[in-house]
Amino acid sequence: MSEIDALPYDAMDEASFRAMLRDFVEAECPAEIRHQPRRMRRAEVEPWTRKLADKGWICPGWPAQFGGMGLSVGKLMAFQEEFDRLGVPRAPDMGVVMLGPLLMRFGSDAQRARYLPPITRAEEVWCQGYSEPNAGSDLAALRTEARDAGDHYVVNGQKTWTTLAQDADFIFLLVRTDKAAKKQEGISFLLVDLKTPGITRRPIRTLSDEEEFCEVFFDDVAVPKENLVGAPNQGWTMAKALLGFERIFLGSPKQSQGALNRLEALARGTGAFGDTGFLDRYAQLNLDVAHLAQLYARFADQVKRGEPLGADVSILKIFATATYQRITELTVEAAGEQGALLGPAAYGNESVDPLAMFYLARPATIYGGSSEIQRGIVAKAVLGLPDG
Amino acid sequence: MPEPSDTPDDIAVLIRESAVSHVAAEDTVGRARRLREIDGHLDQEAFIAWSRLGWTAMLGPAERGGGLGLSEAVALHEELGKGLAGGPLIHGAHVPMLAAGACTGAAASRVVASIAEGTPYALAFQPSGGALESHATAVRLQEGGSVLRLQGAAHYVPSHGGHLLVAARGPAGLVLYHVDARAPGLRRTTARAADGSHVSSLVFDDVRVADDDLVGRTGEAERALDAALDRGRIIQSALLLGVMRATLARTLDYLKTRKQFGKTIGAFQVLQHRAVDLYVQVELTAAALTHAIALADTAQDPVLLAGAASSAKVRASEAALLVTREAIQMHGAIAYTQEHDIGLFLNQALTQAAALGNAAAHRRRYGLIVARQIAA
Repeated sequence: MSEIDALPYDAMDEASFRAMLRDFVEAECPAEIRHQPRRMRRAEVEPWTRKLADKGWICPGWPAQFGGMGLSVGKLMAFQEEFDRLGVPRAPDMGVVMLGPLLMRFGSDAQRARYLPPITRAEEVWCQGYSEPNAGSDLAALRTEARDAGDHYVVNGQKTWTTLAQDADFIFLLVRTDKAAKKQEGISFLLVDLKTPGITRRPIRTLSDEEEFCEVFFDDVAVPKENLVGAPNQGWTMAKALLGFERIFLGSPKQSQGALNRLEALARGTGAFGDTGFLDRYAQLNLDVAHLAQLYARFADQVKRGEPLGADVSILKIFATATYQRITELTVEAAGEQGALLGPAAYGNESVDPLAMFYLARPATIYGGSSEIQRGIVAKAVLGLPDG
Repeated sequence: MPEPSDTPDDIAVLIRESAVSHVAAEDTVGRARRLREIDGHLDQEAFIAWSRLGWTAMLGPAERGGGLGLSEAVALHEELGKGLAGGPLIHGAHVPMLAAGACTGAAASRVVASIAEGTPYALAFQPSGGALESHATAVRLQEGGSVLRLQGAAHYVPSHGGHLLVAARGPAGLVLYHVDARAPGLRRTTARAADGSHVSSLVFDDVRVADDDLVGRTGEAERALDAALDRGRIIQSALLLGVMRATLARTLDYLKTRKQFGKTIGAFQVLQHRAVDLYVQVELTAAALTHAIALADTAQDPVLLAGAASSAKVRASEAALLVTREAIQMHGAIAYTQEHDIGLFLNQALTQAAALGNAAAHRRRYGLIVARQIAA
């Protein structure tokens, strides 16, 4: 921890700050977990996250008083860019990105003291319990219920698409506490220990053949009253208030750039660049990625200047995810018969797994607000089109 | 013209403002309609007016009232594009000015002065079937004793008055000559473009030129021409951005007012989502353009400049055609009439998307540049 005091990150110029991150990653982050196309599991990244924790770098965006790096938004963007560029794996980060900032703003002193320090040490991992089988894009329709039983709540219901719940210690939940109120107004925010009796986690195998999500079942689960964050029935408002500049990351060109790089490796190996039909489609995708990165840079500059993002930031996610998918589609097509075979294939000195790329790109237009939801937001909030 | 002491950003803002007033005061959309409906010969008065505003000289040398860069030209043309103005200014003044301004032949400074004063010039370099770069020219310079003659043909030459800048293949390389469009031996056939403007094919049959007509010498002409064309394409992309911004704005207005089935049609989700996709393309064009300007302003390497220009032109052309086509569909049958203005925007997009190379041609050039980099 003394290292944090010794390093006033915001006084560093950006080049030295990036160099410091780069040196640390090159020295400490094992090559076999870097630049991985899939989401890594907790056990796979734990040796690395422990090194980050020793450095005090688990929570770059948190204020120093809560054990974060206290980075300005500009430095935080540089941190993210540098880690992305170096292919650093994403550790389970729901506690860092979602819960921490929410507790800092709406939690009690006791909640902050109990829950924040273990997050900064990467000792307690959180998952997010929002979506339900009948509450996806229409999240406010959620039905998992917390009944007031005097000194505690009793939770019953089911969450789903809970990313890496099987690796988590705790879950933060949006639960219905008032069935009579308008749907957004009867929702509360609860912190739940996943070891509590009555909780069952069932991993879901995705099209990518990974157990990336879980269903989480709650059967008469007793949760202490002190685990309610904020006032009862304020959960929706609190969760929405947190949608800050991090939304820009959903529209990052990183996935598209990575996929384009693999497509290029494949095309070099097959000689496809000599095929004018392929070259035309490749050139269009190369331009799409370049223009996406240029548009992203415009929004990133806005964030770095300290200006809030508007609803127009959604156009980044719409185009980024569509571009990412189109690249993986051309990769499968350019691979020919190999494009339907599971597992990587060698192209020259490089290994490319077209089908894995294709599967992995599918949910990008669904999670984090589907492309249809994003278009609806832009149509109304930016273009001023009327409600249906 | 703005004072030289102004910072570049201020100048771009001032130029943008004067373009906005020009579009409103001159009813440039109305002029575009007359050009399309009556006879596409652009009146010379437009160039004189642009010259008075300082726009024909702006990309020339500072001592001729120029000294401005792509940022200012892009600001100007984004606004002119909204009013369907500016195409002839790019092809008749900016591109010839950029080419002649980078040359040192006997006629170069005369041509620069003449463009600054409002005389339009037209660049002739494309062979049959078109080409993006000047080395493809199908005009040859033949030296017979003391007499110099041009032989061959040039296509897709904008018809702006009587002055041509002709790229010709000489014995030692590419040269650029000023040629009078009425010179003996020069035959012209003219077609009209979608926006009503005239475009010519020229046949040079022993057209005599003199040393005094030389604008670009061997060794400088090719590079000067290609750089002028690529900068011109970036400015053209700004014009297309203006066209699509205005088209989208008009279409959104329509979606917010037109009622069918008892509802404002803009409330239908299918139209909302399609409108958002147009907006995405408009913003991508703007971002690509900003990047292209920054690259072009610093690029010494012609390949970098070519890549930046093709990148901007592909996006702007595809996006402008998409936005204007979708605008027709969203307006419905009324948009299929000559009477409605939205068709003028489609015509402008069709014309400028094709001139100086369409999206497919630029995608091919960009693809070859990138494929060479990847192979290296």
